[in-house]
Order: sequence, then structure tokens, then C-alpha cells
Amino acid sequence: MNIVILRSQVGNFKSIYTFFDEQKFKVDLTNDIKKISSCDLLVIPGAASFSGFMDSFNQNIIDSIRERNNKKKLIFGICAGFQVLFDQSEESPKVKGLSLIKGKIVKLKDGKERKPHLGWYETIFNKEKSLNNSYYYVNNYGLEHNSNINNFSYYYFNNKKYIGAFKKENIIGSQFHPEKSSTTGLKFLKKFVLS
Amino acid sequence: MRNIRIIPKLEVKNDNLVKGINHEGLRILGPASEFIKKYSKEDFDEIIIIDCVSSLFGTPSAFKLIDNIAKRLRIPMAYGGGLKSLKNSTMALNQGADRIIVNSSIFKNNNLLKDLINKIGTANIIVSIYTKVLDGEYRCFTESSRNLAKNNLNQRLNYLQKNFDGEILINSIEFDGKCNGIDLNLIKILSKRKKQTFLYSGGVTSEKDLKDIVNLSDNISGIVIASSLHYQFLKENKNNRKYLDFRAIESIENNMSFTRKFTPKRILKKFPKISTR
Repeated sequence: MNIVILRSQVGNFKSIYTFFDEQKFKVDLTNDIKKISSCDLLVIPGAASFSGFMDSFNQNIIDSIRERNNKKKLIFGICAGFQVLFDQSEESPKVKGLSLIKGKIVKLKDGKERKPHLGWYETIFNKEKSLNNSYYYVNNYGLEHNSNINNFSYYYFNNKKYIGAFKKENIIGSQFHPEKSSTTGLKFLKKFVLS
Repeated sequence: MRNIRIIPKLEVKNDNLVKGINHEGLRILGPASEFIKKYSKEDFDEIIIIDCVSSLFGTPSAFKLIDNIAKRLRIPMAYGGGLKSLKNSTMALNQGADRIIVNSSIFKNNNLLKDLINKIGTANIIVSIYTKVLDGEYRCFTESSRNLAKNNLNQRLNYLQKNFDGEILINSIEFDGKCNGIDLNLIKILSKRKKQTFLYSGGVTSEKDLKDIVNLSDNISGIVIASSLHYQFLKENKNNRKYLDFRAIESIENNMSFTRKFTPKRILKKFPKISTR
């Protein structure tokens, strides 16, 4: 399997790179459009704001990601990379996302639990129950349960359900950081993403 | 359930782990990578790396070190030290830090915090404050606690309340490195600021310290531990020549009456609710 990790201006892509590298995959850290179109799996990593992330892509990169999607080739977004798969976010109202899936990222509900939503949170999978565990999250914005998606996991924040990870045809996303979730995260990557 | 993270803090100088007392007299404890390897295996929730000389001397931040650490680390890493610009901060992330820690720079340059929030997002930023009591009030220090800042703790926290809703790392200078309990007055002050979320660092040594923090506040989301863990590790590796001559450690221990055994497993056993892991 040939993997490309999308290089953006902001974000940590080292840890996810190392993960795939250690699993003996051929992995490239690049924003080369040819490689983005031709690879078997495109990973969009992220530790950034919605706008900080979208700003660092030019139109050619955005087009090539959409084209991949039209061809139903695998795309995997993590954290901010998960959020930009959707139309827009309350974090940066003026900035458009990649719109690969219908949906809007919203500010997490206020309440007793403190923001940022940061740390290890119990995540429940509706189908792949063997992956139920705590994963590492860093986010202030999230995706509410969305009827478009039927294979997913969720976490609770202030008693509200948000999507932790999902799979929809060729698109996979995780709000948590599997590459930072120790052995649980590795299991998730192997079973949910690479299988 | 309350979700409190236990976070080892490693102050580094070049490739070495260093530790002082009251942030003074930094002593080399051994290669930072050995400590990191150990902590990442031990199920800690996150680690903090502070390059404690780069802010002071204006040398470039230890990007090479972050790079080396990030390759091996399977838990999140926050990095601070000499991050004076947006460019430097994004570079730290690109090198493999998951979150960045800023102190001196954001109080000198009003736009920097705003730019960082726009580009990196609040959740990935930690604002760090070094504080101790001077003339009856908590004052703030910058450049690894060398220089006294104009604004006191209260003023800085007010400023942050308006401009930043992420985590604030509070370092007690007075209690740092002594392994002799925590700054209870400071914890009480922090616990009154209900709208803000804090990480506490300084003197955390015993299970009683952890318990006190948990009981006294409900807005401290992380407990940061340095010396107690480092010295425990050195003790376990007494005969390993890779580390500092153990006699030096013994002399520190004698001064601090350091007798406790401090491991995460024990923390978790005693406080099943302290962490969700």
C-alpha cells in the first residue's frame, strides 16, 4: 500500500508518519499533486485551526483531493483533517471546507465539563465494538451525530454526543489522534483504517 | 467524571534533562531521551518538554530534539521554550510537537496570541506563567523565571480570561524542585477562577499532594510532575553510568528527605477516578 501524508503549513505529521513507516508501508510526506492523486491512501493530519489548515492548501491541492474522492479513493482525516472533510466550521465561519461530506462542525456545548476537550475520553463504536476504549482528543469544535454516517464511534461532552471516528465509503475520519493514543490508537489504525 | 491528566515535565538543555530548585541551579540528570522513553512506556497522559535555556539566551529552540522525541513518542507532547513567533511555533508543530507552550513572547507582543489562536487553534496552545509571592502578592516572571514582569498574576489571568480560553500552565517558583509539597495558597487562588482551566506545576510529590489538588479545585485539568519522577527514575538506575553520578543525587535527596515511591501505576491504583485511562 502506497500512502501519502499531506504536508500542510501547520500541524504535527511526524508521529503519524512514523507509525506508517514502522508498519513497513511506503509512505510519503508531501503536497505533490501527482502523488496525492495516485496514492492508495491519503492521510490528512492536523493540529491546527480550521482556517489555519484550509489556508495552507492551494486550489490545486483542494481539487486533487476532491478528484480522489470522485474516484472513490481512500482518504483519512485526523482532528482538523477530519473537520475539513465537511462543509464548514463555527471556528472559522468565512472559510469553506473540502465539502466531501455534508455537515457542519460546531462549537462543543458549554457545561460542567471544561474546555478545551482535551485528554483521554471513552469512545464507543456502534459497529466495531472491539475498538471501544479511551482515545486522546484535543478539540474545541466537533461534529454532532450526523444521519449521513452509519459506521461511526462517539464520545460524550457535556452530555452531548459527538462523532469520534467514522467510515463512509472511501472516507475515514477521526476526531481523536490515533497516533497519540498509545497502543489503543495503533489498534484503531490497523483495524479501522488499514483493513 | 473528572478527567485529570498526570503529566511529566522535562526541562532540557541541548540533549540533556536538567532540573534545578526554584528554577535555579540547573543540574544535568542524564540524556533526556532515556527519561522520555521510560515515561512514554508508563502510561502517562502527556509529556511537557521545556527548553529552559532557549528563552533565556535567545538560542534557537531545540527543534532537533523535538524531532528525535516525536519519532518515538506515542503520547502527546507539548513543547515550550523560545517560541517567540508564529513561524517558530508552527515549526515546532511541524517538527512533531502536538501542542506549544508560550510565555514571555505573548505578553510582549499583543498580536502574537491572536495570530496563534487563528492559525493553530486554542486547544493546541498552552500559556505558561511562572509565579511566586513578592511583597505579599503573586508576581509573574518571564525568561524561565529570571525576569520580573510588570503585571502581577491577577492582571495576567484577567488578560488571558479575555483573550484565551485554553489551558494555562501555572508554575510555582517557590515550590519548584523541592519535592516538598504544593503551593496550597496558589491552588486556592486558581480554584476561584472558575472560567479558566489550569495545569499546576511545582512540588507535587506525594499522593496527598494529588488529593489536595483534586479536592481544592475543580478547574485544574492536569497535574505536572518533574523532580519527583526524575529522581525516582535515577534511583531505579543507580548503577547505570549513563546517568549522573549517583552521589550527587544522594546529596540532594538527603537535603530533601526524599523517601517516597512515586509511580503512575500507584497513582492510578489509589485514585481510580483521577484518570480515565
